[in-house]
Amino acid sequence: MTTRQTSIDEDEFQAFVDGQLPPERCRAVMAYLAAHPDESSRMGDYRTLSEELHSLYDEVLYEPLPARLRVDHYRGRTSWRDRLQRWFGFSVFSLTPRLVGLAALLSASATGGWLLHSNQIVLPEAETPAMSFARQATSAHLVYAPDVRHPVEFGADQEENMLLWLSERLGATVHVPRLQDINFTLVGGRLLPAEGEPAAQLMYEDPQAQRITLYIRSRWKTSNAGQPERSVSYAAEGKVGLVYWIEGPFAYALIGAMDREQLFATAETVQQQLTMPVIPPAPEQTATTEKDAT
Amino acid sequence: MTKSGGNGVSETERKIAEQIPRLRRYARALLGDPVRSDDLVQEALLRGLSRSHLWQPGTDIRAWMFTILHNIHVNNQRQRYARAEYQELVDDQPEMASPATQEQSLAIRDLARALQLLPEPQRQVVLLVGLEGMNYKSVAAVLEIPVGTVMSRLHRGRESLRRLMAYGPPATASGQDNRRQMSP
Repeated sequence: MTTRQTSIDEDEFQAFVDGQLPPERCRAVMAYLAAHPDESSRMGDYRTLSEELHSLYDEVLYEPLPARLRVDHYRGRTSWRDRLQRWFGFSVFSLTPRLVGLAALLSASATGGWLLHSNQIVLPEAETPAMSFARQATSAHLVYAPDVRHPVEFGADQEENMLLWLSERLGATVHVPRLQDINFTLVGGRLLPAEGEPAAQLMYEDPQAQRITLYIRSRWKTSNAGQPERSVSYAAEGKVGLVYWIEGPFAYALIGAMDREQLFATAETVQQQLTMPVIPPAPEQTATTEKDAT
Repeated sequence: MTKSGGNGVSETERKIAEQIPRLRRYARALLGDPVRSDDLVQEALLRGLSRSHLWQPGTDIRAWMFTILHNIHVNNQRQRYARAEYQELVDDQPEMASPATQEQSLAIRDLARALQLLPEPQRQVVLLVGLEGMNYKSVAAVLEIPVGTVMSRLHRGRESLRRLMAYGPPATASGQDNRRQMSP
């Protein structure tokens, strides 16, 4: 049946699904799949499987750790802030290779990627869900970040209420990353519509009143086959840059007038705190429990 | 400018702590039971801490911790079952694990149940790759098996799950696909 195409072995199919296939072979696999719809849908099923594993188990990452699973339970205590700073999500997901891949993916579309102008966003014809997400996040930023009088629905002083509200509407626990260490304080947040789904926008500003926003959507489903799960992408036009990434059932975007490196550093700080459960300050320990320490 | 967090927690210990949520997610998916899986993670944490001096900086601490967890799990299993039974449990089964009666469609939320129907070696690989996003080499290192074995378990595991979950195109009217027929 296949005359010109080189044969694809099963290992290569698996590697293709997992994004572990060298780019030169990807092309061959894609050509093969284009001609074999059955195999193509099998690959789609495998991908769905991984996505569903994430929607099923990623919440474990957010569960507060019981004392017996915490290092400080065995070894003295560290401040929660200090620990949060040190979670290192990005290195695990190896940011750089994906970044290159997706930047290429974005710019490979017909119109040469999408452009952001101060108030207008030009998009290529076929918009992927991730791109549409990026666009919504950017629009929300452009609309609310410059707003002097009503930038947010809930101010930082009502943080707790805001979290309850946003968590309820998004159907998932929303955490507010702490960005004081990089000089950004929380302004507040708001709920926004995004294609019939609720989205949350959190806003921060630095002492120069420069604002950045974090845009969050839950129940994120990546259905398009070409997009790897948990991807990280970057886009910019003029001064405004955007980093967006997908992690399990969540899609996040961080938008601000920063250079790429700064934006990534900030996104990393944000991502680390979002991926890992927020650990509340440990209550004063009166005595260490001996039971668990065995 | 805090160089170390102080309070007696070393840099390595901190790195170990960072792995806990992921170890926990994996253990939960592997064992299905929250208490047993936290027990396993706790054992891995304690062993990791007690051997933290053996970890070589610059190497992948996640793979190191997952290896520890896996070894503890294997030992626990050995204690639970007689050795012969254990081998039977762990050895790859040549055919699909799923009997025909289980091939009826399960709801999506039953993926957890479907996972538990997989032979454990396949489940481990499917989870380390599909959930933990590990590369095949690391998976081979963690489970101490050749990469080729990782690949075949991955394929078989995924294929079983796909059938259990009844993904894929619905059965054709031609009757070619009788996998889906209920057994009489």
